[in-house]
Order: sequence, then structure tokens, then C-alpha cells
Amino acid sequence: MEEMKTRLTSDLAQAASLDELEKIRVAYLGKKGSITNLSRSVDFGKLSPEERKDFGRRFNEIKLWAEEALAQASARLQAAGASQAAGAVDLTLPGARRSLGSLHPITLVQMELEQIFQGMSFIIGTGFHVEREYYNFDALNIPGDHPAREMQDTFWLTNGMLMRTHTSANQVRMLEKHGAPLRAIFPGRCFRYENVDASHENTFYQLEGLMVDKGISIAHLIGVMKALLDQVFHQDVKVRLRPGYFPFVEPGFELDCQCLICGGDGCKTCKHSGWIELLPCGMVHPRVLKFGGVDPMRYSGFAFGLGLTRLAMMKYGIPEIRLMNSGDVRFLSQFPAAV
Amino acid sequence: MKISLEWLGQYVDLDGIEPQVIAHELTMKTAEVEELVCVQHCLQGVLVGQVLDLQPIAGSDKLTLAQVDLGGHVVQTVCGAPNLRLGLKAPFAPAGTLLAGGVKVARASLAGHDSQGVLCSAKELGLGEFHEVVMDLPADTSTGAALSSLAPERDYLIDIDNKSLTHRPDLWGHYGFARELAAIFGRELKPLGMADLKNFRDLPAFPLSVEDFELCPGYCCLELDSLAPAPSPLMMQWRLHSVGLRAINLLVDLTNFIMLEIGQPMHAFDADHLQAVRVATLGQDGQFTTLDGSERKMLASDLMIWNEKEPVALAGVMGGLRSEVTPATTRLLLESANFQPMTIRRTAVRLGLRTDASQRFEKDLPPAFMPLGIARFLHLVRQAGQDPAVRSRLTHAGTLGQGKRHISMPLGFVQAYMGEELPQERVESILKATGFGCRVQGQEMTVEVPTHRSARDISVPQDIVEEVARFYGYDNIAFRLPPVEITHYAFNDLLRAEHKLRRFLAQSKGYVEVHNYSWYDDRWLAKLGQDPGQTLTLANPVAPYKSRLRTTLMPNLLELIPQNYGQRDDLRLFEVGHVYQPHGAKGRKETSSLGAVAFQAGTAADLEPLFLEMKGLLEDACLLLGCGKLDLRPGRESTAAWAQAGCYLEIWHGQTLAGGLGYLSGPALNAFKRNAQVAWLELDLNALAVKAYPELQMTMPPVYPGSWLDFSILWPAAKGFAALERELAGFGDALLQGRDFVASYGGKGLEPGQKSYTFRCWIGLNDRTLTKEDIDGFKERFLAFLAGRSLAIR
Repeated sequence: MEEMKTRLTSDLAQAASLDELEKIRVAYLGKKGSITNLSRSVDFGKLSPEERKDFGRRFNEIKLWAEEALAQASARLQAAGASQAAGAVDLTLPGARRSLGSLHPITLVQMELEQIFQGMSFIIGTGFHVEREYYNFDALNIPGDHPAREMQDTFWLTNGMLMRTHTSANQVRMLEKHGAPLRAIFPGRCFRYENVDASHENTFYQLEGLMVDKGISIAHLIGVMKALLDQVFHQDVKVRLRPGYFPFVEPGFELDCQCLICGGDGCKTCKHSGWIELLPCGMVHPRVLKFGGVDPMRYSGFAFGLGLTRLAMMKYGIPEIRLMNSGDVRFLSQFPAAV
Repeated sequence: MKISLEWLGQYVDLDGIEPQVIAHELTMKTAEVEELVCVQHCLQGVLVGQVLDLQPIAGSDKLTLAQVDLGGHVVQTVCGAPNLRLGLKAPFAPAGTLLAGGVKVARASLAGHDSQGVLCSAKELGLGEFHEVVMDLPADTSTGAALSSLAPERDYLIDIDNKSLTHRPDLWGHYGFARELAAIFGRELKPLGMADLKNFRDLPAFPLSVEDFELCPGYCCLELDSLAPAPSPLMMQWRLHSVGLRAINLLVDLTNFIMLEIGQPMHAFDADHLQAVRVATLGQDGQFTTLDGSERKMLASDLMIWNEKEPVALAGVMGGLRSEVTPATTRLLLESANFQPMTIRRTAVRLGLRTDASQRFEKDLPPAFMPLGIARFLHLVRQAGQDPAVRSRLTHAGTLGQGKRHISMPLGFVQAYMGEELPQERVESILKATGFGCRVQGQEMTVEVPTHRSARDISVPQDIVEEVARFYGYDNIAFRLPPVEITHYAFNDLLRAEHKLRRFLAQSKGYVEVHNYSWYDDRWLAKLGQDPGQTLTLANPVAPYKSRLRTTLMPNLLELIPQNYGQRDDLRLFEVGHVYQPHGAKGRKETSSLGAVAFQAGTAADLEPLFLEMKGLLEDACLLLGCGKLDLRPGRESTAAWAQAGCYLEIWHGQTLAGGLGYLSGPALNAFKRNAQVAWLELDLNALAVKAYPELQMTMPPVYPGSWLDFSILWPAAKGFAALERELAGFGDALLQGRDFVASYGGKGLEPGQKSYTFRCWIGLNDRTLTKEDIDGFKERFLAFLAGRSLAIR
């Protein structure tokens, strides 16, 4: 046993790495290690109880001693910053299989806009895709004979309901539910009866916003829209309003922002106009307020509709709207869930 | 709609203003300009010629040899135009003239005859698109005159987005735009020349009756006689051609011209075919031949113009063939009417006949335009050198639109709504510039709406704000953020749950979020062997097999697996989206759902880990959503092809079925690759009571160190883990602090059908450290418990 101690001591002194140390451990203390074997080499039947006791004591002693010596050697090697540390791992290998999945580009944009609006204390509503004609048209000051109904080719259901053609369909629902004052956005899926091609989809996403309070004016509308766009594009964005016609707002506007590619000088993106048509908006029509149970003599408000699909396409350089609903993993996995 | 700047110049002096500036100001203040185009006409060298002689050319049906007087000398040309006649005056381009499209006229020998130039169509002069006939100039045009001295060599065309004119019927003619530009640039709007219709009030009325003033709020007509067939004045033809209409003859051109000038569609009937006008619906379904020669299927509800018992025109859409004015017409009845927009649009849309007239009637024209159209017609026809005899007084039924409308609002309303402190005088001067009247009395401002603005366009004080603000300039409004009162914030728990799940699946589990359509594809359902059951159904789907709205996310998610085979043999996809159930005859139940699928190409041995991955995902999701422990029950027979009894679990939240979790088996698998393993999960988020933030209560970690013991227990696999769990739950011990399932094993070293389940028992005491005796004692008691239940240790 003493001889074994000597051998182990010299082996440990020569060990240069933790790998080698592990081999030594197995050689001595493993299932078939030389120390472990000591107990098997003895025929206990031939030993007296005292001898047995003595052997047991010595066996335990050497085992404990060996374990202690191994631990010390291991500590020594680790403390010496053992030479194996360098090269033991190929630091240039790629990380193990990434577990980060992806969020749909529209989700990414939607989450970002929700954060921006929550920062301005707008609540977030969720509406219905399958809507009543009343909320999609009538309550938005689009009566049955209004030409605007034609501008929006509608998917109708056999039960008389329809697939909402715009998130504006949720305006009067929100007014009914929350009353005034109200600051709310409601993002979601919309539908138009259209042939699908590179730039047209029958299923797309909008984000509608509605602010109703006492004394809300056009100046406020422009202010909030500019604050929104500054945050979306992370820069000081120039905006302009021009007349636009939507039956549920009066006055109605098209809001353009100065082209961010050319800075307003004119380029391909802005069709050489220096401006990009970004979002339709306007002051909520008094009839819409009335439909929502809000007194237009006491309150006024603005509303806007942002094309989330279009914004995602602009932001991420997506040239084909069809990719959005394609379920093509090669496309979708390009948008890591980084929000 | 196309607007010619040359034409506009007749009503407002635009000299010195760049066309680009005009287009920009219109976009910023009135309506969206889509395009500004400079049009160069090819007039250099073109002369007014008169046909002196026409001879047929032997061997040609179409070509004629014409001698053309150019005012002193006569030239010869070979011409194929169908409207050649002796005495015709038309533009002539001698050899060497450059015509539209860069074509240089060459002296040539045609059909054996010398041709010294060409008689020109409008298109050849760079004017519009019509080339079938040569231009037919009025007889008083001086022969030999240079055309460039009679017509402009250049024009600018502004193309306005029609959609931005939906609410502005007053802008469906050039005069409306002239009115806007006069206000924008502070220039004078020239009044339109009108005949004084009062002179005829002693004449008899034309027999007229309107049956339904809802459908036809107003109808005006005037009977004229002694009209001679003639071409229109050169500039009237010119302007019609420039915006894409074809000049035909004076009567037709005048009606078109007035429509494009003030926006009021006019119709001229040959009065020889008309004894009395009646405006009424057709009354029964039938046929009607419009003036384009098409026989059209009509409905009883279509509004018609009748001559006594015979329908002669499709009201507001198109005239009839039989009563059309012809070159031989000398007596005509001039109609200038107002129709209900909806009835006109319905008929026009149904017949696919969106005419210039119907487009305007759909916009709800101001009735005041009706008499204007007739007075203007009479003025212009006289200007064209004709002196028709007026046979009737201005006959009308219904409104003439002369009543003034007033809108009142508190003084300062406009400024407050704009959020801009502009002086009251400024408000009034802007309103007056566009024809509005304005009166202030005490604290109230009353605005008088001009008759050229429609009631649909201007009806509430906010409409007046728009008038002021757009001319003031939206850019001039100093924008600012609104001051708000802070209130408590209403969180949207469902939306937050949706987003939590999205982040969890994508950020922690490596799933890819997809968006699928809201409807099924019946062809895929058939492949999957899925009966969709009761669904909401689209009346006008994009394809007949895409009419059913999804009641579950699963089929469309599963469909993506084969669609992505080419790229991956391993997919993790999810969608958070709405599903739609019918609810009663006229309703729907729309809920938010989570669907997830895990696919891999593998062997049967891979299926259990795949399923367990999905189950683990559900368990974590429950923690995230704070919806408590869900109850998973063995799935019963179901109608879902992906949920076979024994291969899925039902997810229950209290008494509500909240989804399912399973793997694909049986016939549904036939829709996939042979080695496809698919696990799925669907969770109805509306059925769960989600909590945005967890409700947790901590327990103190033990002060004294405990220990653990691992046991591997043998158990028949067929009985399932849950049954073993129930057995083990019967064991209680003062030392036992918890028990975890570690792993299961089956295969080598075990009896077939046997599995070994390894558990880790955590033991400890609150008042002291465990001794060896404690541990041994626990071990004994646990082994004795197992022995008592005939559970063997591996």
C-alpha cells in the first residue's frame, strides 16, 4: 500500500493536464482501478476479524488519501492556469444550435408601435375581424348609398356580416366601450376583396388610432403624428398634410413624410416628389362621435390609420407583399424575435 | 380626371404661375394631382385647307383623290378618311411638316397619284387619341390660315385622382378647378356667359312629369328648333380632344363640353321622337337598346326617361338609340337633370356602364347646376353662330337648387378646431374667396353655403373648418402635442397574453411565427381528411374552395409543413390568431387562439420526445399566462383529423374545453411524408383566465441541508405513467419534501413491456441536519411501501 502511495505521488507530480489527471483517477480509483482492486485481491474469509478490521481501516485511509491527493493536484493544475485551457476548446466554432426563433415582421412592427403609443398613454384595443356592416360602414358615416363603400371591395359573409375592410371598424366600438376622453390604438387584420399580386393582398394589417378629448385640434393631430413618426424612424421627420377624403373624418388628410432616402430631394422611392404618402388621418366626424355616444359639441378628436403591412415592408425592405402570408420559413426566419 | 390648363385659362388668368406650382397647390389644398404632363401640339406648317374636289381612285375602296385649297394655291392629296366631303375644312400638313410621334410628312405617290401632304386627324396634331377621321373645322375658319395662329401649340394636362374628388361634385368640371385656383392664387374668377332664360317664360312648358322625386329630385328641359348641322368651333373641339373626348358635331360636343366645364351632364334628345317626358322606373324587367347600339338587360327598378309609353333613355347613364340626335336633327329637347346617386350607381355598376355622366350623378351633383347647363348651352350655341328658335320655356319639375343653406357655429369654432389663432377677418376673407357668405351675430358665426357646393360635401361646421384650413394652408398650422390628464391605464390582458406567448415561443423555444389566411383551403382539408363542419362562409370568396372561415388554426398550420419540406426536415411553427365560429343565424363567436406544430422527419422512436416537448411547452405556457394548472384529459373521438382518440389530450380549464395537444396518426398522416412525426397544440386564449403578472407565495428554503435519493421503479408501460404516479402518491413520510420524475427507460436489460421510471426523492428536516440513520430509515420505509404495492426496484 505504501508503494502504491509513492507511485501515485510521482504520477500526480507528472500530470500536466486535467485530462491526464482524470486518467490517473480512473487508473487508481475507477471501478477497475488499482486501489479499488486492493479490496478484491484479499480473501477476507482467511482473515481474522482483527485483520479484517485493520485492512478495512488501511484501505479507507489510502482511498481517502488518494482522493485528497487527486483533489490537490487538480487544484494545483487549475491554479497554474493549466496549459490545456488554451486549445482545449475551439473558440472559433459557432455557438451551439441557436434557440432563438422568429416573430412575424408585422408582429415586430406592431409591438414597436404599441410601445410607442403606450408611452403616450394610449390604450390598446382588439376588435373583430368578422364585423357587422354597421360598424364597418354605417357608424363611420358611410351610408348604404355612399360611393366610399365601393372604394373598398368587401368580403361578405353568407350570414350578412363582413370581413372588416379597415381597423376603423373598431372606432365606434371603442367609443361605446370607453367613452370620452379616449386615447386608443387598435391594430389588427383587415380584408379587401382584391386579386393578390406583388403589391396587393386580400389580408393585411392596419393600426388605427383614436384620440378624443376636449379641445383636440388639427394642430394636435399633426403634433402626435410627428411624434409617432420621429419615434418610428428614430429621427426628426418632416411631415405635411394635404386634403384627403374619408367619410368618417372631417377634415380628412393624407399625411406625407419627407422621403427618408433622399431627404426630400427626390428619388426613386418617393417617385421624385420628395414626399412619401404615409398615413390617412383626420378629425373624427361629428356623426361618428354621435354614433359612439360622444357629444361632438363637448368633445373633438382625431383618428389615423397606419398600414402595418406597408410599414413592415418599408422598414425591412420587403419587396413582395405575398411573402407575408406565405408561411415560407426561409423568409420568416430572417426576423429574429428581438423585441 | 384630366384638366387642361389652357382650358382653365379661359376662366381664370394663370399667367406667370408655373404649371408645377399649380399642380402642387392643387395637391396641397384641393385634390391629389397624380400627374402633370406637358403636351406639345404639332402645328408648325399646318394650314387650314378646304376640300374643293373629290375623285374616287380606281381600284381602291377607301382612298379618295382630294384637291385642297390652301388659300390661294391648291394642292392634291390622297386621303382615306371616311368623313371627307366637298367644302370640308380641315388641317392640312404639307410635305415636310413634322407631325405627332415624330412622323415627317413626305411627298409621295399613292395609288398612282401625287400626294403633296395630308389632311390631319386630331391625333396627328398631337391632340388626344382619335385618328379615325380628319378634323372637321367650322365653315368660318379662314382657309389658308396657319393653324398655330388659331390654336395653342402647347398645353399642360393635370391628371387628378378621381378618388380624391368623391365628395366634390363641383370639381367634376374645369370651372370648379378654376374657382379653386382663383381662391388659391387670389385671382379673379371670370363669370360664365349665360343666356337669359327668363326671356322665354311666356312660352309653353314641355310636357314633363316626374313620378318619384326621391329618384329624380329635379328635372329641367328646354325645346329648341331650327338647328343646322355643323361642326363645333375649333377651340371647343380642341379642348374636348385635349382631355380625351372625341368631337362629333356641335350638338353632341356642346353637351360634353358643358359637362366638362361645369360638371353637369346634359342630354340632347331628337325632339321629333319625343312628345312628352316622363321620369319613372321601368316597372318590369326588360330590354333596352342604348345609343351605343347595345341591347341591355334592364331591371324593373332601373330609372328611365320615357316618351309617353316608351322608354327613351337610361336616366343618368346613357341615352337610347332611337331618340339619339343625328346630323339630321334640327329640333331637340335639351335635358339637364338631377338623379339620386345610389340609383344611378346601381344601374351603371350592374351594366358595367360607368359613363362620364353616371360618374358625375353618383357624386350627388348640386341641383343648381341644372338650369346653369341649359343657360350655358343656349349661350354657347349662339356663340357658335347658330340662332335656334326656343320652343318651350325652361320647364322643370322638382327642385332647382336655388335655396340657400346656412351653417351656424360659435364664434371662434374654426380657430379652436384648427388649433391656430387666426383673426376672424382672415376666416371671413378665405370663405368669401370660395363663394361662401359669412355673418357674425353676437357670439355666433353663420356661413351661407354657395349653391355650387353639394349638401353631402358641406353640411356641418367641421366642413367649414376644412374650407378655411386648406386655403390657409395646413403647413401654416403650428403643430403641438395635446395636453392630457393622466388617468389609470386600462391594460389589455388578452393582447398581453398573446404577446407573452409570441415572445416565449420565439425567444425561448425557437419557434417561427407565421400568419395564415383566415379561411381554409378545401382542397387541403380533403387531403387531410378533415370535415370542416359548421363554419362561417364567405359569399364572395377569392376561389370557390376558399370560402370557409377557419374554426381552428390547425389545418392551415399543418399545411405549411409540406410547403416547407424543401427547406427543412425539422420545423417548429406557431400562429396566434383569430378563429371564427358561427353563432346563431346572423352572428359569430370570434376568439383568439394559439396554434403550434412541431414536425420532424424521423422514426417512431422520435415521436414521444417530440410530443413531450410540446407538452412541456404547454406547461411552461400555463406558468407564463398565470392561468393555473390545466386539466389534461384523454382525448375522446373527435371530428378533427389530427386528433385521434388515444393520440391526443383535451385541455380543460375548469368546466371549459380550452384546446388540445397531441400527435398526428392514422389517415391524416397520409398527407405528409412517410417518415413525418408531427406534434400539435391548440389553446383557446379566451377560455383561459390569464393574468398579466404571476401571483406567487414563497416558502422558506430549509435551514438545514437535506439530501436526495434516486429510485428506479419497474412498471408496465401499457399502464402509463399517470397510474404509477397515482400509486406513488399514496406514500407519505415526515422526511419527504418532494419527489421529481427524472427519466424513463425501456429496452435492453428490461422485460418487454416493462419500463423503468426514475424518481428523485428530496428529504430533510426543519430542525436539524439528517443523519445516516435518518436516511437509511427513509430508504427502508420507502422500499417497504414499494414492496407493499408489488413495485419492483430496478
